[in-house]
Amino acid sequence: MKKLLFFLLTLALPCGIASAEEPIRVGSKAFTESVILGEVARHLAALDGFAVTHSRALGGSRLVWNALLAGEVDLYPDYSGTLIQETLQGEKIESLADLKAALKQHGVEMTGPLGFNNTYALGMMEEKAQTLGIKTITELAAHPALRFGFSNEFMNRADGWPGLRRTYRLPQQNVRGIDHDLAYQGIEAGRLDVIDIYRTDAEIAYYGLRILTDDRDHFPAYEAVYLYRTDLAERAPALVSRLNALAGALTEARMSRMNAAVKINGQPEAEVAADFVAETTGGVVAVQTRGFWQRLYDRTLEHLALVGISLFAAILVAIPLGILAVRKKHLGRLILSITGILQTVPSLALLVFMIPLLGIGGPPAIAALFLYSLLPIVRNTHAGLSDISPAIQESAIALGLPSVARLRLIELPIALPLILAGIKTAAVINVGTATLGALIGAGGYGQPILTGIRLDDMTLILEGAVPAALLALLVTAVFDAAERLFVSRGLRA
Amino acid sequence: MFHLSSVEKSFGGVRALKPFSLSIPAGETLAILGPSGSGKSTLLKLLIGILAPDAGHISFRGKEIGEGGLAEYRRHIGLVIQEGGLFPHLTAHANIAIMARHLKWPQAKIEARIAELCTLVHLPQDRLSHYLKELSGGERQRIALMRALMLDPDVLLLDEPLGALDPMIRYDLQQDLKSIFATLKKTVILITHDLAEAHYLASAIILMRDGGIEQSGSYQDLASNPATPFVRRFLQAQRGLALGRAGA
Repeated sequence: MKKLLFFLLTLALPCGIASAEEPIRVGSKAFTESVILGEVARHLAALDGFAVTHSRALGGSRLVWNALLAGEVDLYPDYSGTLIQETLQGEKIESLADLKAALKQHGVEMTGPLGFNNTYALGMMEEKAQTLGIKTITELAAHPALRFGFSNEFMNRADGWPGLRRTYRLPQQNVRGIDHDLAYQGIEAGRLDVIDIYRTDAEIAYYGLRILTDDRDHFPAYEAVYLYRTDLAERAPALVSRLNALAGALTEARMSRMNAAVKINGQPEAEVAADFVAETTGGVVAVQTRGFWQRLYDRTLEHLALVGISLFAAILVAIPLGILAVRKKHLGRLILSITGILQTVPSLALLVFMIPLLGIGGPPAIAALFLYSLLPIVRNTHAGLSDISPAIQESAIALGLPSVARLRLIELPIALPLILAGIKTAAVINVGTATLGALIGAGGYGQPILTGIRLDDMTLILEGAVPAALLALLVTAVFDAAERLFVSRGLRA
Repeated sequence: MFHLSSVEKSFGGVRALKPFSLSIPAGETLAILGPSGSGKSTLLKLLIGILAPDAGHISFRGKEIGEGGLAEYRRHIGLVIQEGGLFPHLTAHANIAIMARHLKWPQAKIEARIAELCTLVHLPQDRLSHYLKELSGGERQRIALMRALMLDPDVLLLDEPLGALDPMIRYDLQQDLKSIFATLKKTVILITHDLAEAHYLASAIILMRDGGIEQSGSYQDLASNPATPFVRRFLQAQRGLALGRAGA
C-alpha cells in the first residue's frame, strides 16, 4: 500500500514544482512586493535561457526560508532586518557582513542590498492621526482604546508587535491579526485605527496614511536582498552575477511605483517586473499572459489532479481500513479514532505539517487531502458493513460462501450506497479544501482566490471561487449518477 | 446423518446447552420444539458451524464437522430462516443461483435446476426477476427454500420458516412443505415453537427446555406419555390455544 501511495504521489509531481529538467526555482513570500521581486529574478534567469519556475506567494518568511534550506526553491527575495531579527535571531549579527557570514553557515548566499529599505512602520489614517494629535509611536501609549490590526507575521515576530509593545510600553488590548492586504481595507473602512505597513507599500499614498515616527528606533533596517543556495553559483553563474548586479539599482521610489502599478493599477506582476528588467539590463523578456480560458483550463487540471489523486488513494486505503475495522473490533476503534483525529486538525495546519515531509507544491497538498478524505470513507464503509443484519450475514455464511466471496458478492454490494455517500462527502470536502493548496504552491482554483485577496480584486477571487463551487456541484452529480449506475435497484427506496 | 455427543455451549458463563447427545438418522423429519431461550437456536448454529461447541463432538456422516473445511460442509446443508435471510441487492433468481454461480455451474444447468425447483415449491417463474422488496412474505419463503435446495443438499434446516407469515399463507406453505418433504425424502430438521406444525410436518419431535432435551419421541409418545410436568404443561398450553381459536 505504501508503494502504491508513493506511486500516486509521484504522479502528482508534474502539477507541483519538480520536473525532469531541474529548472531554477524561484520562491516568493505572500505579499505583492515579494512576488514582483520573484518575477524580476525569473525574468533575469530567462534572459540567459535558463528553465525557470516561480512558486509565487508561497507563504510567510519562515516557510520560504525553510523551502530554501530544503532545496525546494533555489532563491527568493528577503530583507536584512527580517533575517537578523527573526530568521537567524539568537545568532549575534551586527552588520550586513556578519549576516553574510551567518547565512554561509546555512549554505545560503546573499546579494548586495538592492537599494531600498522596506522597513516596518505603523500607519494611521491622516485625519484620525490629526484629530488625536499623534505623530510618533510613543504618543500611541496615551490612547489605549485604539484598535490595532497587524499582519499575522508581524503579530508573532520578535521585531514585530511583541518587541514593539515592550519598547514603547503600549497598553492597547484590542489587537488582532489580519492579512496585510486586507488591513488597508479595514483601516479605510474605519474598523481599525493603526496597522503595520511596509515602507514601500503603494497603499500608503493611495489611502493617505500617516506614518508614525519610530522615535525610539525600534525597527532595524530592512534592506531588500536576494538569498540563493550556494550551489546556484555553480549551476547558474550568469544568473548569480545578474542578481548581484542589481545591487543599488532599485530605489525606494522605484519599488513603490512597481507596487502601485500592481496593486493600484492592476497590472500583472510579470509585466511590471519585465519593464524593470528591460530598464536596468536592456534585456527584453517576453511576458506571456494566459487568456482567461487558458488560465481556467490550467487551474482546472491542477485542481482535478489534487482532488482526483488524493481521493483515489483515499478510496484504495480507506475501504480496506473500513473492512478491517469491522472484522477486528479493537483495531477498528483505533482506526476510527485516528482518522477522526486527523479530521480535527485544521486543514491549513495539516497542509503545513506536510511541508517538512514532502516539500512544497502538489505532493504535500495531495497527502493532506488524502488524510482528510480517509475519515468519511472509513466511517461509512464501517457503518455500511456493520448495518447488515445478522440474518443476512448468517445466511451468507450458511450457504457455504468463503469469506472473500461473501465480502465481494454480499457485504460490499449491500454497503455500497453508504460507501458511495462517504466517497461523495470526501470528494466535495476535497474540492473546497484543495483551494488552500495554493498557499503551499500547489496551484488550482485557490491561486486566483489568494491573488485576488492580495490585490483586493473581486473578479480574481470569483475566477477561483465560482469554478470551485461548480466543480463541487459536478462532483455531486457524478456521484449521484454513479449511485444510479452501481447500486442495485433492490436497495433503492 | 448427525451425531452429537456430550455437546456443551455457554455464553459468558451462561449455559445455553447442557451436555447434549442426539442422533439424527438419515431421512428423518425431526421437529425441535421449545420455548424461547431453550437452546434451539444455539443447537442450529452449532449444526451449521457458526458456533463451535465448548466440549463434545458433532459429526456429520461419521466425520467431525468442519474437518474438510466448513464452507464445503455447509454446501451439504440447506438453511431457511424466519424472514428468509434473502439478499436485498439481488433478484430472486440471483439469490437462488448465487452458490451455483460461485461454483461455476454451466448456465443451462442453473436454469434447469431453477425451473425444477419452481415447480417443486409452486412459484411462478416470472416472480424470479423481482427484488426482495417486491415480493410477498410467502413468496420470499418459497424463494429461500429454493435457494436452500439449489445444490441438492443432504439436509434441510428450517428455523421457524413460517414464523412471520399470516395464518392463511402459513397454512398453504405447511401443506406445500409436507408434500416437498415427502417428494425429496431428505433429512429435515425443523425448528418451531408450534406443536401442531411439528405434529403435521415431522415424524419425530424433540422438546427442549433450558438447554437440554425434556422429552423426545413421536407426537403420540409426548401426548399420551408426557415425561415431566413441563411436557404436559407445554402440550396443554398449545392445545388450549387451538381450542380457544376454534371456539371463537
